[in-house]
Amino acid sequence: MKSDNKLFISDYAPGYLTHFGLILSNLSIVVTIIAFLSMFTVFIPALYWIGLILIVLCSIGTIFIIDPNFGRFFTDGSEIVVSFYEKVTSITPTLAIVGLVMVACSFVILLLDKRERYVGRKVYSILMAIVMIIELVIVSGVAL
Amino acid sequence: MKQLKIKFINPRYHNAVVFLDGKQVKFSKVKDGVCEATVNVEKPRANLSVLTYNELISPLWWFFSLIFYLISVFGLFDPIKVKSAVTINYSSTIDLSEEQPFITIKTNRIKVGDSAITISGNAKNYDENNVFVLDKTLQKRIKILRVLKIFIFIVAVLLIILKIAKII
Repeated sequence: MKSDNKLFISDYAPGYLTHFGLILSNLSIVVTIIAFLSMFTVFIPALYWIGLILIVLCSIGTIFIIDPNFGRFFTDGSEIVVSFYEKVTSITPTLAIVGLVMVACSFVILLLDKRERYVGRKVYSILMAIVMIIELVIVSGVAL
Repeated sequence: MKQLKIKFINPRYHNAVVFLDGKQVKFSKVKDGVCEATVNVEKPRANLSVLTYNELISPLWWFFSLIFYLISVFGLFDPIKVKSAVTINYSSTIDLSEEQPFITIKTNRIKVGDSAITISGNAKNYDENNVFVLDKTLQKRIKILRVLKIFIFIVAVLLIILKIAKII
């Protein structure tokens, strides 16, 4: 037990761990949603469009200056969508495993927190872990 | 020896930590915004202090702040953002002459110079310090981090654009 009304570096460690767990939990939400959507072929074109919009947003529109023909990805993207579909379906198991590891880690870290309960995040982690396991079983079954 | 029951209302609001006679009080998990602790005290009076827990006060603040900034994709997935440099400075003496002493600690609304903590319960308290303080060091660190984060973000965006340009 520490004294002198001061917080030492060891006192900050649980806080840092929880902070990391919260970030991991937030990231796992995105990864598991993408992994879940990638299982259904109807959502893959949507993922493609989201990816394109993200590129435009991240580059603050300068992508159209860097590549003046960037608009072709929006207009005649049927072939690109097919190759994108193949890539996404090939990485679906990897995404599911990454998502599963992330929800498991965030669940354990948040369980260790002695100050807050984080009920919503824990319930989400359990649900998504189940979904990811089912997805892995289905994907591996399809591969077999 | 007496047992002092401490109820803390909304400790997460200011990230407050409580010390009793120099020892950090370990509270139960927050439920409905309230957490509780029971502390054994041998003396008839105890010194109570409430401080603000802030990652930017820690010795390795710059390292962890930047690591979390990068891991959380430039703060996009970071739920904890330090914006305020106002901290709690509270210390008082608690009289434990009652048979079953208990106190309830409640943090007030942030305003520099105003009282930070309101104590109620059957144990009398004699405030020594009770004020919200603007921490200059913390304020400086928040500014440094803000500049660093903007710089890192610009560099990262430039690198991503260059990478995309190379691929295309």
